[in-house]
Amino acid sequence: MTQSHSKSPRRFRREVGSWLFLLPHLFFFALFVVVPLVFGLVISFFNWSLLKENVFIGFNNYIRTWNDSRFWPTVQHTVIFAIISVPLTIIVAILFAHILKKKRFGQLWLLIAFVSPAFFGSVGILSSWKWIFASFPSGLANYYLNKAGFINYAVSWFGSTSVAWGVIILVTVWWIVGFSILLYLGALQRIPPEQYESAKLDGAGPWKQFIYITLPWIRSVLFFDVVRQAILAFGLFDQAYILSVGGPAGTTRTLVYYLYLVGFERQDFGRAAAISWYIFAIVLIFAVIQLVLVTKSIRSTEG
Amino acid sequence: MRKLMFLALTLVVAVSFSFGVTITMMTPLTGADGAYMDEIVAKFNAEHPDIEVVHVVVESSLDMKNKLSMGIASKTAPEIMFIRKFDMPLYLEHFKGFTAEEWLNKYGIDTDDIFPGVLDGLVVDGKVVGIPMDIWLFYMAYNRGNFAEVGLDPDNPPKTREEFISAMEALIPITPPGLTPYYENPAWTWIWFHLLWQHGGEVLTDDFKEPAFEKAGIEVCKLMLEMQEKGILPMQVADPGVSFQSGESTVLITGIWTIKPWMEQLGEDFGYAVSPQLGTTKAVFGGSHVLAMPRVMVEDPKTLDAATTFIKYLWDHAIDWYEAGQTPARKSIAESQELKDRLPHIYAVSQDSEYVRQFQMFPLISEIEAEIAVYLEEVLVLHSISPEAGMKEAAFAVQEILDDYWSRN
Amino acid sequence: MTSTVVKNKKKLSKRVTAVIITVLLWAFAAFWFAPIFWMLSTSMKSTTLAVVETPPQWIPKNPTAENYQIIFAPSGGLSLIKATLNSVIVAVSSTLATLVLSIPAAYALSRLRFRGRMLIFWIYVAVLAFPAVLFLIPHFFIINGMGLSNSYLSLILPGLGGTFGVFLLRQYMLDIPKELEDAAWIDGCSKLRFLISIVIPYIKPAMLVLSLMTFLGSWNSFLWPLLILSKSDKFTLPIALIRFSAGWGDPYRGIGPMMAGAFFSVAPSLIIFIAFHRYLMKGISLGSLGKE
Repeated sequence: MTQSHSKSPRRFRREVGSWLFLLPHLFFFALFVVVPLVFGLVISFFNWSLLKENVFIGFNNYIRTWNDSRFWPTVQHTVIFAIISVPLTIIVAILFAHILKKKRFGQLWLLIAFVSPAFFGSVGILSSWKWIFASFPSGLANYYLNKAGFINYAVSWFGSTSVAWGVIILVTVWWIVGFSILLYLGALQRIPPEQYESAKLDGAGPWKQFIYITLPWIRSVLFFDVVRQAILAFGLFDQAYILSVGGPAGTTRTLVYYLYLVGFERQDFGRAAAISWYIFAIVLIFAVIQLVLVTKSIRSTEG
Repeated sequence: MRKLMFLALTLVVAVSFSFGVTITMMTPLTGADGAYMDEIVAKFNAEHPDIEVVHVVVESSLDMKNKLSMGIASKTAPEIMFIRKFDMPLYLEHFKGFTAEEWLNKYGIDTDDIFPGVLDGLVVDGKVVGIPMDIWLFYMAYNRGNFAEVGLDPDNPPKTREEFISAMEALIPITPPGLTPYYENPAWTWIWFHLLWQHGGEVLTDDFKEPAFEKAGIEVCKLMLEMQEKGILPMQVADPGVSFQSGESTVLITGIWTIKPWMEQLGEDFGYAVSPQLGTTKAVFGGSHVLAMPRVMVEDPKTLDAATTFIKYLWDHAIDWYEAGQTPARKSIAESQELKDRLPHIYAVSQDSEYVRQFQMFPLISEIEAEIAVYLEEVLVLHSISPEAGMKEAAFAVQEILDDYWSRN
Repeated sequence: MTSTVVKNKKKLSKRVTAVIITVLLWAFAAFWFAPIFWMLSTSMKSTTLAVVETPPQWIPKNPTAENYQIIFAPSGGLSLIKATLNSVIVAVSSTLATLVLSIPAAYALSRLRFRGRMLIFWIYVAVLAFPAVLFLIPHFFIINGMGLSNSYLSLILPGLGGTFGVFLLRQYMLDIPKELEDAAWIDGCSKLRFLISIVIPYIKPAMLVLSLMTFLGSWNSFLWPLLILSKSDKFTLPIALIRFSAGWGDPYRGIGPMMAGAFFSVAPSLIIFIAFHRYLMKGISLGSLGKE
């Protein structure tokens, strides 16, 4: 008993010391993240527009969004997009990370080509992509596909839902894979090569090597990347807005697109806040599911 | 010492006298249009040493609305907005308005000279809250060379529906595969609205409580489907402009802002005319930029004075602005010899101005436009439902939006 | 044949395959990077027709610098050079400040024990799920209320609350072997010294990546600066380039200046990449201690 009494002040001092490390960042976090979130929560219960009297309307914003016939298809589109693009990006990233790991001639060029687009701003590169997937015959994709004999008419790339989504997924993977590559590259390079050598001696093929050696080592990075990608996927806006304009027939509208359409275009910030909380909830659920799946599958392969 | 103080005093006095007013004008003018406005602003600043106008450009309607809302709430808005008319409805009560007499007597701006269709919706409680600067009318651009090639008279472009369709059909043989003579995006809602008004329809009822486009909308969809079936209009989402400029497609009915670059591109081959009347009612799509002053920013009389001086300057030098590719909002200019001499192409197109139709001043009109677009695309791009079904569903979706709006306003 | 000849033959074919693979990879990378090449190439073409000519010209027939001249001509008191300078100042400051704040915070959340540690961590992660766009308006009022609008601080401060950097660094710090920490503790090393002399060198690759991300995130951000800045002398690069964006109706009008502007804002990212690539590769392989 006397021991616990003498331990508490020391423990308290130690904890204060630890908090001190956190405090500077926590201050900015509180001011620029917590306050806005609380603000967002509060105004979501109002008819809040900056231009006239703000009226308390309870859950009306949430109910209206729930009942809006445009909302749920948007959720569906975004979820399907996330389900496809997140694993795809991770697979591509791990693949490219393996390619970049080996020292070879002109490695810098490969690094630039695959990784740097992740650091370019959206407007410029989307304009370039929009040109590539233009609908007229001299659009780059149409022209070369035609020349190669794959098609003999000009494709309207955003004229059908599945093709439009295909293009969006392609452009998205191209754009964001870079950062993931760096993450996996860093993790891969920490794996001692002896482990691979001894596995080879034991007769393990590349796939087995990947599952039993590589995966465990990149586990925490994978965890991080899955969360990061899930969040990014639900924030998809630029491509849907600039490339396909939410079409055809609104079938490439994403959650953030909906947020812009019904929240910001109306300058109805209360509604925008309510929609954001819906997005938050959906992302959270999705990220948790993804994480559980990833952890389970890693654990199962570890046997 | 005394001399120094005297010098300092003179300096202070001189500075305070030359202390002019700086006002900001926000416009959505990206690209070449913005450069025109820059020149006009520069000229004004040179001629008015005590006023400095700063020209700020934003890209989209949304950016402009965000900044305007924030600005009004925090009193940091621009003093002058050069705002698209359909972005204004949310803010009408927040703009400074004067009666027609005040505009005329105090500032020399004759609001009676403005085309009624354009001034419509800008009068709140008897006060005019914005001065329209221009109209972006739709016109018809066509390739004279292609016309001649198939035996059509380049000096006599089609004016009616029958003429238009037969002319387009005549052009199909010389149009490369994958393109059409009238290569426009069928998903572009403005064309549909243009045709809606030409068929006697309107988007909403006058009280903005119900959709009003169903009947005429069906006719328009049928017309567009007919053009698609005949190979005149693309069946799919299209990126226009480029194929017109390369001469592969022949006709576009589009905004006047395209006239200058296309004239330069196509040279002798470029033909322009008023839009053909493809329906039952004489109408033509138009938008406008409106000069408006947020009330909270011009409470200071000096600022108000500077802002109205600039507005008057633009009013007087309007033709400089129309060079960029706009038609006049004023009857007197539209009929003037000066316009005819300086900008004959603008003059020719602006003969249609009295028939201009613009979006109704309802705050959610852009959202309604986006929803109608969804169903238009189902009819005209995906070809998955009939015009009747499409318009019915569109009306239903629009009613949902209206109900949402009216339940809280 | 003798075994050495066989060995040499095997070596040769291995070399040849390696070369073939490398060449194929190069070609694939060129194909992958095509949109950027197109951007550069288009920025040097002078009319829309030059852009649309078939076959597509990757190397312009009559390359011209006029698009770059257009975007650099100061218009309405706004100069692209000043805007670039502003972007640099803001991006560098944001990066430094983010590192200074995130490193201790990540350390606390990964290796120190205190009550509420996991709660704070999960909150930090959870808030990442929020659409960034919702923060715009509250930030506007906070910054305005602090009297900071139209200042460099207004562009730097709001981002410092971001938790992504903390998350990233924490994951890397987790991998530091416990033995190191125990050894340091026995040696009487304080937490701060441990952080500075052992943790930071260990996570250099992560720090580099975070710096790169923060720098370029700040460089490319435009929604927030657009909202908070109304005086053009503080405009950053993306906002200065708005003037050259697509116009109404025909989005390909003026595509030359638009691509010139786009490439001009992409170029610094590329340059930084090339400049730091060796550090990236070297820094990443410096990775683990004690496991080699």
